[in-house]
Amino acid sequence: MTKLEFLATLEKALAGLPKEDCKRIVDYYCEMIDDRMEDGFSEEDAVKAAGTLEEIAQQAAQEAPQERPRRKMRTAHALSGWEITLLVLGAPLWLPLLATFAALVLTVVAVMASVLATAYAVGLSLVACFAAGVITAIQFASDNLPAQAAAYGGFALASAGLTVLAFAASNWTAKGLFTASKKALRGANALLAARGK
Amino acid sequence: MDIQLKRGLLEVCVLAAIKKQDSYGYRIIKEIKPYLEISESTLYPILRRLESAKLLTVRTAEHQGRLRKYYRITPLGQKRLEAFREEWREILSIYQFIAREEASDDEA
Repeated sequence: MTKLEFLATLEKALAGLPKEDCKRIVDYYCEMIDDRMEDGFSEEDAVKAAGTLEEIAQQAAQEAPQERPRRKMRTAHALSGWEITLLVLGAPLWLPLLATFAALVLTVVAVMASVLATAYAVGLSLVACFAAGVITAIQFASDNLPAQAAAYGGFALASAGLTVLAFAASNWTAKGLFTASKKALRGANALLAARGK
Repeated sequence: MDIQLKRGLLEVCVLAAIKKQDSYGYRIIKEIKPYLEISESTLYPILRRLESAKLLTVRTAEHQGRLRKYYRITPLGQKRLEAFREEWREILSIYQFIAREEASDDEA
């Protein structure tokens, strides 16, 4: 068999593969045969060394699953008459259920948002306390009242400390809520995927 | 040789063959053949696997008026080779354990 004959047969044998994969394999064997001929092999021997078509097709099939998308898309199918009837008849049942579920999800999201807003608001008010403390302390100091200045300075320092703690707690809460909702979403996804199978 | 073991070894062999300089399919086969049986059809899926695992990269260059693919090892591929050397020490000690068991069986 000549090189061209071999490559043409190979291309036909790999017709089931995506075009790109098929071309890559044919190019590879073309290069191999050329390199062998350059190394002193006759064309026929070079073609023989490339292996049999069965071998090549088998190897191609072996690597094929890796290159295919992992999860097959579910093919959409038209709703049958029965399914439409059931959907319409069941509307009084599933509509309120769906609405309740949506309301529930919305509530959870709102609660999470307000918890976060509260946490950050606490942090912000502590920042305000710190600022007020510093300003008052400076005023007392300029009025030559060291004891009062020291007291308000201490108050400002305590506020600063609490601010750091409050923001750390808020961030921690935000992160926790974020991971929890991510997990919930993933769970819902898995549930849907399992039903889709 | 066990087919899984051979496949794993061939992957490392291919990385070793391109360790020092970029190489092309036929030369890789010629280099490995004295040590481990390898053919064109066995090499192809190995190259694809190594490429998709980012252990090597491929570039096409002209050679005597035609195109040839050259394979280059990546830092990840270098790491895989180093890891193999580490694994090999473990395998050697396992071999010694197996050989010792056999020797004591012979004595008995």
